[in-house]
Amino acid sequence: MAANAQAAQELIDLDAEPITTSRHRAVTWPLVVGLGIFAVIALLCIFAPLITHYDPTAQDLLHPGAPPFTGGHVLGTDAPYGRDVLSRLLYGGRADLAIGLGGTGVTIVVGTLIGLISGYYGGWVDSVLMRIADVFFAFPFLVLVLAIVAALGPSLFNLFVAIWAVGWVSYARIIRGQTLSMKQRDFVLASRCGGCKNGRIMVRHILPHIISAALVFAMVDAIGNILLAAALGYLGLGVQEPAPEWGTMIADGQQYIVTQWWVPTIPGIAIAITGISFSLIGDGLATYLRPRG
Amino acid sequence: MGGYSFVGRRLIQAIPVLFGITLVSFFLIHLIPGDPVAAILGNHYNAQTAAALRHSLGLDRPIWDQYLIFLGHVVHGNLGQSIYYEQPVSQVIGDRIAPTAWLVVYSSVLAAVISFPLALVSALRHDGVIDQVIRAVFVVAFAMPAFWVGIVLILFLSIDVKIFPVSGYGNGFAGHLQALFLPSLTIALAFSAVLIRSLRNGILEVMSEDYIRTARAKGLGTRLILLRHMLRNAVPPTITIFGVNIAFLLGSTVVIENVFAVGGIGQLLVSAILQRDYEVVQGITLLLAVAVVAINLLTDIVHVLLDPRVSYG
Repeated sequence: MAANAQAAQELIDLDAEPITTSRHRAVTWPLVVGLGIFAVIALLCIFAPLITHYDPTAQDLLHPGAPPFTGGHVLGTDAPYGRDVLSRLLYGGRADLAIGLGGTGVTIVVGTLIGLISGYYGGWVDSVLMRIADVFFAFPFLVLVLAIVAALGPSLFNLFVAIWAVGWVSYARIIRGQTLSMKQRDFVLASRCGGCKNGRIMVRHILPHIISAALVFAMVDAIGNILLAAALGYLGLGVQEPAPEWGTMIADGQQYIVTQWWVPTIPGIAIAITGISFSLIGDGLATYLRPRG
Repeated sequence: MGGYSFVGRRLIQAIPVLFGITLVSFFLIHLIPGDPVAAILGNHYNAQTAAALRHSLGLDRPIWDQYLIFLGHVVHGNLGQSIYYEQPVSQVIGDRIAPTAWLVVYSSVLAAVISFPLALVSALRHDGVIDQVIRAVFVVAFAMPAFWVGIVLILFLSIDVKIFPVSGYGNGFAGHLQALFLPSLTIALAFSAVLIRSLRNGILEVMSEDYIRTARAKGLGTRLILLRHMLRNAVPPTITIFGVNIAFLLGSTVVIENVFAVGGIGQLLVSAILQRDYEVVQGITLLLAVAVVAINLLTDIVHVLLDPRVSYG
């Protein structure tokens, strides 16, 4: 009997494999290019000390607002402090990338679990979780994050906390909808008849089929989180001066835009390129994960 | 059963959400670690004034009592007292709501003008060169921080050419239209980047409907099909897409108001956070969430009224 149950279990697990694994996956150019751009940006930020020897907060008051490629500053210096723009860009990118990856990474896990539980169990659990989601969804994301930061005080860590507290909602909604349609499928019913525990059915049998929607959305969400971090930095409610961050760099440079246009322009371009890389990865992932038959 | 019962049911569904909104707005601000009274008084802190202020703010009561009092006040339109402005919060917000309302309406109109025709062209030529160019442009637009786009627009159109003012709200209808053009355009560009994908898909869906094929089959010209059959049917889903994304629009407005110093409630929100004027933060948070719920409700109702095929479910 034990052997039979084992065999049945294996059959069920086999059936639960994502539809796509047994077929060819399509790696398209957006995926490759997107990952490539992102890898370059991430490596530049991680290995910032090897690329630039300037301290991102060191001031050189004798040479403020130096244009790019002058005085050993590849991207010039900012005004009025004379800080090296390239250093600030690379070190500052660490904060934005951390929010993009760390903010999104946690919310996708939490949101997916909540969505799975909500959709799978249904009933009052579902009602309660989805009403909470409705309430969070009513607030403009940025405004709710601002209010949380207002309560906790502005800092990079509190920005993480705010995104974690709010960002799960979208994933929970996406995953719940998909779970609802999946849980009636024959292989799920079969695994239930085969004696699988609820947790195993959710994670091993349902999740592999529906995670792709959440993963593709995560790329859009990561752009949103980076833009949010930059917006809060710009408003003075995110990363605090003198620590560099792309949004605060734009805010610093704004009043000198006429004479030192590169100071606020360069970090904006950096954000846009990072966002485009996530867009490309998302496009490529959608094709890569799409069931083909 | 008809439209009225649908409207009634949607209104009833909104009640628990509105209730939840008051809970979140209240507890966010009242669960602040540390003593809000100390934060308010700052250097003027001493035990006696602190106790008096705590009592006058009702902070010496249990938190649930405070919430119920807050709820009672909100129902009567009382959002509390601003510490910084020494005025009722509803008045502080009311004084600054006009620029924000202007921005929201203005940028919605501009976003519709930008995104709808482009989505239509994209859908009609789907997977063609024009479609791919439009989509690529908006992928880039989506990745650019809106506040940065605003700054670049200021550089080109306010400082170099001096067509539009750098900041402010303007006077009179024409003045508002001119002064708020750049901030509205900035918001509209960001909003269009969010809308255009769904709009394109919505129009594609309408295009694949049977009645369009029938119209083609009976020999109607493309232009006639477009005007008489497609556009009319594309309006209801467009309104829904707008409603679904309204929260994004309001969020962008908060940031862009600060770039252009428009003087609306977005700018008030940020300054209130910096001034630790918590009642104002709470009031604006509450108001914006209620606005999102109200606009969603409105777009749902309009959708049902315009499109008799939608079930009143």
